[in-house]
Amino acid sequence: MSEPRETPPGARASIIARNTQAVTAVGLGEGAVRRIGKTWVVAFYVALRNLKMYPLENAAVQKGLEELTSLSGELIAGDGECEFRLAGEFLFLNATRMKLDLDNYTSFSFILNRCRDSGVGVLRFDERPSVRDWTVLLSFLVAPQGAAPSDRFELLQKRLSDTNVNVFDIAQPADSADDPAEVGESKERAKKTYQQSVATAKDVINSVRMGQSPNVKKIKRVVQGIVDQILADEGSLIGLTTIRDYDDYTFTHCVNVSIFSIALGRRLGLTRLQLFDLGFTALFHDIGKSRVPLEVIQKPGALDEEEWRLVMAHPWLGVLALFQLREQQEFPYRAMLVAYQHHMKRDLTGYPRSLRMSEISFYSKIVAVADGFDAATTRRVYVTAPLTPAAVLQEMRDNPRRGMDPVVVKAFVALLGIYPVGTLVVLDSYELAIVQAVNPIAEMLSRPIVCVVSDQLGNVEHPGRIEDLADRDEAGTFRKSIIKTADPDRYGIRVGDYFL
Amino acid sequence: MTTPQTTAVVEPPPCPPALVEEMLKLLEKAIKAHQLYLPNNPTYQKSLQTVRAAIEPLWAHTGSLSFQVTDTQFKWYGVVVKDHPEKGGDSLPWLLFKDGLRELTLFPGFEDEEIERFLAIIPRVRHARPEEDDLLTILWEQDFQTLRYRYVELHEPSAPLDPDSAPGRWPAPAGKAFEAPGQAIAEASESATDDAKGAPKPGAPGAEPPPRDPNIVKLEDFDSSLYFLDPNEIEYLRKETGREYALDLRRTVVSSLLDIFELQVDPLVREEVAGDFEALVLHLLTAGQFSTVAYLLKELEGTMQRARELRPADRDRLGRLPDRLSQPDALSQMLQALEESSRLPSKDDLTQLFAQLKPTALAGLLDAIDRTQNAELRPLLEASAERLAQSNTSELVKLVTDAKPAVAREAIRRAGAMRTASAVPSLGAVLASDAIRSLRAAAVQALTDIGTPGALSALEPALADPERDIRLATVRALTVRNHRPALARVQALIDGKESRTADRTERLAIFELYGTIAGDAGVATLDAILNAKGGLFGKREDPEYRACAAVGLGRINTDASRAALQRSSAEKDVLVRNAVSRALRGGAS
Repeated sequence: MSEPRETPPGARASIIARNTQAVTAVGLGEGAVRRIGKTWVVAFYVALRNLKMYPLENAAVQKGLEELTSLSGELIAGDGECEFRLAGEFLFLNATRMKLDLDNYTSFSFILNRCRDSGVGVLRFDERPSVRDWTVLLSFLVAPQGAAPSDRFELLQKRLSDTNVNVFDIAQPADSADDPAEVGESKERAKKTYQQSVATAKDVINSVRMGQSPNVKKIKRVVQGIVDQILADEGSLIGLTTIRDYDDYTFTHCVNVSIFSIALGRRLGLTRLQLFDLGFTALFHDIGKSRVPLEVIQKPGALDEEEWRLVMAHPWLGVLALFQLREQQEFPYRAMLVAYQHHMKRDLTGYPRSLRMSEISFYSKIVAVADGFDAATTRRVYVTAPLTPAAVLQEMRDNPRRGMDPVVVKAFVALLGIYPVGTLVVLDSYELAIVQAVNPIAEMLSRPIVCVVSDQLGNVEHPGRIEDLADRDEAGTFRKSIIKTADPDRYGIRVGDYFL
Repeated sequence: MTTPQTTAVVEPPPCPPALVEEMLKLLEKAIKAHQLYLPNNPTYQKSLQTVRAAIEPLWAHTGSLSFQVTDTQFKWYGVVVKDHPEKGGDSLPWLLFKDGLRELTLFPGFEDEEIERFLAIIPRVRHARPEEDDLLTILWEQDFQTLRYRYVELHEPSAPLDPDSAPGRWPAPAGKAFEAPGQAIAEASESATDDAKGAPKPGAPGAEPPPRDPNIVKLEDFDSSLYFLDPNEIEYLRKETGREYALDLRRTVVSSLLDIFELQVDPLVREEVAGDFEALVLHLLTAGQFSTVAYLLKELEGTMQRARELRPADRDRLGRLPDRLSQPDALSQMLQALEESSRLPSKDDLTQLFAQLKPTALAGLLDAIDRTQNAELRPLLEASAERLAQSNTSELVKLVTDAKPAVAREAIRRAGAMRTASAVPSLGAVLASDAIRSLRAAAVQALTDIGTPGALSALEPALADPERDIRLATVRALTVRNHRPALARVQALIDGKESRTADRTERLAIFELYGTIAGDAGVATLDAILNAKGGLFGKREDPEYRACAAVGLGRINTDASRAALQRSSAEKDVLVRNAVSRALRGGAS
């Protein structure tokens, strides 16, 4: 037995926020906040977007501002105050997490970017702001001045003060990345989740190899853990996919594909339960390999025709293998389908050949992208020179013969950035760095958060220093930029070590 | 992440534990009430309100209620607030503990909305079968915001993720890099220069760009617009998500299995797939996925024809699949499920499914036709039964004497409707047996419908049936068919007491039959009844009986019969006179 695990951090964040006001007035119920809040977020988005597109006098702009003012009044009337807070990729309104779905995907993304860009993490008011108050605030958010978000935040405070807008209480994001304890805790949690996931994947594949039924409950728990971790701190798990230990390739690959799929699904607006479905299916996508002889899977040299035939049988062998999961009330049909289709192209070519399929399922398309990326960037016994992550993304996007869904690939690129997490890059400071996370500011996707791992002479440092490549100097020039990507082997660097 | 405190000093509770203890008691009562009553039931509503009222005041003392869960107890600040020494289905601590839950924490607001979802979970977990989701999965799915829990994985995988444990890793993390980064930058500069030098001049024919350093990422390759999904793309994703969940997964998986079976010639693979098909059919039927079963069976037929190198054993095995579906037990389960389903599958689906049934399914279908209360289902069952009966009359004939009256009745009815001559002996046997009345009546109708001489002969014994309605139906059938071979039996009826003791309707029918089939040979008998003065005092027969004889003579309608009628044309008795008059005018009755 292991030590107890907690419920999702996302849920906890909400609970902690609630506790601060636990003994206060009842106010709007959570359901009501969600309902009004959803409308409020859309109104906030519409007002921002209209202000960006039209002059202030435009009727649409005025209408949007009036709507926002009115809804803010409703929230205050119910709860006595309105607190709008950004936490990671989540939006909280009066301590209630707003649910992200495809209906509000655009508005969430737009608001997150505008607020982050201006260094705003919290917006609070306990009396109804006027249309003028909103105009001042939102005008700044759509066209911020200043170089870095922190500068912009100061300028915004000054702007509000200069214009006598005192209704808003704003604060910078409570950036958990600044808190080493929290970073450490999140990293530890991610490591544990990853470790358990790989061990479970190993159990599952080995069980199937031996003709036994794997423990489905345990597998579910693992996928739930991945979903929770991705929802709480996407970067920590994605970073761990760079470990790519080729001796455990089959197992880590399954977990990595599950992680990438869940993270991608989240970008695509899937709900928590849908993410679970997706992660569960992704974890099993290569289960058919458990029926391919180990000597073929682990063969160091080139495969002969017969060996390739065996490897290419793994999608349909996966369907047969999944019939062994009899512990379930139902057969895992979705997982069977993804296992069967994940090497099929959009035009249904690829393998296995199918006589009856008329289309590829959406989850198969997602898993195909995640699988393609992880496989191509991983060192394996028979792939000694993996491609750089950036090159793989570019190939997936630009080569139609890969047969991947362009919208899914696009979202995947948005997830990983131009320089995906784990990419070793050479900086113009002559230092080597490993990409740790995509920059949360959308316009800065080519300037990720990196971990600098060597000095200018090539002396490798561990654990390295985290730097934001979007940082500028006093003159507004970026302090450091990426020159090129590099092969970690060339420098004797184990990328995974910087995520452990 | 923290572990439960075991040795740490326990703080004093923020309020008397008795309040918490009482709240837990009420929570258990509410759980029971949830199990026993519908959500709108006042008893349940009252128990819910009571537990809410017990939770709410606690928030004045504390921001959360955290319980340590053991197999028999809940502890709060080290104090036992719930003790259930017996482990079992009724014990809340055990119910939570057994699935791995070790700490349960409630937060303000739990009593508002989430309490009801929690109450619903407990009975679900209590009655969950081993293969169903456990407490932890159900709690996870609920995504509670005011309930937190900690758990242990009961079957923890043990393999550690040790970065150095695996052989074949590449070098250590810290130390001197194999190469200084400056070299890479120099290469990048060279590459950039080469790029500039080698760039094809506009219009230069045949100019090809030089190979580029693949490690240099050109930002223009990743147009920033790439990172934002446009409205069309968002709409596409919405549709794709909808499509994913609208997809008929079972049918698609069946398609993939059929593909595998058809394209993979390895006998072992085919044997395994055949086993999967068998398991799948059972699961699909259990899940009420009738159209998918129909699709599978239909496609399988074609697949077996096309599949290369198919072993006879596999062909036989799969060929038996539709038979299995048609077996009485499997079929009755399926039909029962259909009967009880709140929403029937589409007509097409059911038609497809029933089209796959084999003749052995006929008994089950006939039984279902008899029992069904479902007006939508009935015509489909009828159509299917008709198809099977027509294609396999021997099965139908066999079912005429089935031990199940419902089956036999439907088979008899269908045999008649189809004019199945081969069913006559069986129908005759039904009449001759001590079969229940409804079966005998159905057999009479069926034999009448078949109407062949053999069928009518088989009907004759029914003239002596103990049931008046059956006799009457038989008499009328024989009359309509003018079945002369029955004359001897009818003569016996006329001569015997049957024609006298029968009620007026039956008696009249017997005389009509007699007149119809006897011809002139019957005139003497009827004339005697109508006109003769018999007995010691020369008293005539009863007027009603004589009137029946007049009707019989009218049916014969020959000179002799008319002469006999004329003799009573001046009859004083109105009843007789009227009957005679009608008979002479050609009216039967």
